[in-house]
Amino acid sequence: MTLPPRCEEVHERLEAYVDGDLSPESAQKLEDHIFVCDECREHLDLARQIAGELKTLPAKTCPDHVVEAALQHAAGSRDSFAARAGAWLRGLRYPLSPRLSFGTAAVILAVIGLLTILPVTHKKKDPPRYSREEVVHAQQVIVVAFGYVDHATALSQEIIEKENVSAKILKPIRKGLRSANPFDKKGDKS
Amino acid sequence: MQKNRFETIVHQYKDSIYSYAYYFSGSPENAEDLTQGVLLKIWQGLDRLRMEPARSWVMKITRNHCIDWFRSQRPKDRASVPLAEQDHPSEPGVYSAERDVQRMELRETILRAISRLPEKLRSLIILREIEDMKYEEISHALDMPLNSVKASIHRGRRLLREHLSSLYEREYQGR
Repeated sequence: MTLPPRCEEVHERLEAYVDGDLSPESAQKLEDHIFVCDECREHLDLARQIAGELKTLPAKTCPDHVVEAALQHAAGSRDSFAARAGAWLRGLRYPLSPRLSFGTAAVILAVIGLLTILPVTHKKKDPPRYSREEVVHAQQVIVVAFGYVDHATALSQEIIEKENVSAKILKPIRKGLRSANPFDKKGDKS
Repeated sequence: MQKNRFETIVHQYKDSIYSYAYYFSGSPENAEDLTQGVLLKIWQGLDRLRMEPARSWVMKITRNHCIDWFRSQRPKDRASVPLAEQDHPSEPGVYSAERDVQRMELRETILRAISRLPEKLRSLIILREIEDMKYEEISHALDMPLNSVKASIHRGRRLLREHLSSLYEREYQGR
């Protein structure tokens, strides 16, 4: 059975009307329709009956054994850590007794001190960045580099003493420098 | 301390929880199991109680537990949820015998129809009509907008009405 649109609209609003949740204008329109429509009037009666019956449905009483089982469960359980910590914190209200204040302060300071010292005493050593072979190789390079600097210095001194720098002198110097330089792969080529 | 709070809550709300579970599940046995489950959850979550009103909190737990239970049921068990009213004595002397019988029939039909409502609408109807909670209280407890609460409760009652109306129509045609 398909209702005409007007009846459908009324059917949708009947519960709101029964509860007094419609605006005065909407309620008036609905009442106008109900006055001439038997079917909607029957639906309104039914909506009122249901609302009335729902209000009178009796509350049920929980059986005692259900409650007892729950309370026994709680009695057999320890309070959760959060609950115990919360209860302890709530207990620490001002004013505290002087002895308790001193004791609490001492405990707090000791904890702070431990937290500060522990990272220093337990500082982890950094792992070695280079292998032993790499370190030995670096030492050798440094020795060669110092030898190169020493040789170059001696040659420079010699040139300065002679004051007359010519190609004949410079050429062997360059050659010597190259041969002393361990990184120059060209070797004796000139 | 926790135990004292728990005991207070249990004694204050045990009947509300049981009633809700009874009307939601449709059987005293299921209602007992559900009430046990709800009380256990209340005990486990007692630390969170300070954040909201106790009644809203308790009924929210009850509602969620019942909906979880309903969803865990197999579809065939859901369809056969019984809702027999064995302990509703009629009010003596108020109605004639015939009216009394009619009213009992109507009540039983409504109860059966409630147990077949979609679970969310069923929850709202029970909270509003049986637990007698205010719209605002339900809105707060279930974290739903007030208008949605009202509209859903009206929709639930409308479904009940349409169900009853179709039953009456069938009955009338059968005569």
